[in-house]
Amino acid sequence: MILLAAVIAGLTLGLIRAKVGNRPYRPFSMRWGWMVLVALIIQWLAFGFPLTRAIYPDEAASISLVLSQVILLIFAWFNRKIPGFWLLITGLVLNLLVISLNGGFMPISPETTHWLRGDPISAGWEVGERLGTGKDVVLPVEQTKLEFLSDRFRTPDNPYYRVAFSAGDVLIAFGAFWLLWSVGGRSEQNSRKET
Amino acid sequence: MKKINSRVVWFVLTVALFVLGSGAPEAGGGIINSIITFPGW
Repeated sequence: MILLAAVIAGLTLGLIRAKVGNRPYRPFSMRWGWMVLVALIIQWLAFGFPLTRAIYPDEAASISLVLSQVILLIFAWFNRKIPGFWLLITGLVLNLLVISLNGGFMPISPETTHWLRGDPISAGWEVGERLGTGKDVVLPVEQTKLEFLSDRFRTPDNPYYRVAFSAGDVLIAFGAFWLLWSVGGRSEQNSRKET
Repeated sequence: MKKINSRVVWFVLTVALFVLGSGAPEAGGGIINSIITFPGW
């Protein structure tokens, strides 16, 4: 959950920063925010809502993933002048790139899948196939295009919490943190200039 | 109790949803799947 942790940490420290500086926590004005909602609905129908995800063919699911990320990219581009958005854009582009080049899903190696699931054998998944109804596809390293951008990084090994993530995810996490942290440092004057 | 600013809530929500939609599922994106599911489905 590095992404959610970054949001929570950025918000908490941003609020503390504003409090210490005796400033209001005054968010930036983001344009086209509804696009995020549209993108999430597309993803939710393909990967989240049990009734629809069960009937989505893999091809439709992969198209939905790429389409939703393109929508998010357009939203991010419209807001690129806001602090942190260049990191968000770069991370999103890296994820989108590796997803697009590997059949529309985020590649993950069989070794990482074994580690993630904690299974000694491949229970419920096969190499070359999509991992359940999620966004990942299990691909051997040698068959993965731009493997260094795939879900190849792992959290420190422990039996209770295992997460695989990509280089793009790391940039997105830093971008979200920076964005939420920056809000706490905005002066009244700068906020007024913007509006 | 201090009133929560709706603009702050909308901003944080937008950032959180953007991040979840952009990232790989195991890094947090998949939380949408686990939160918005229905019992027995």
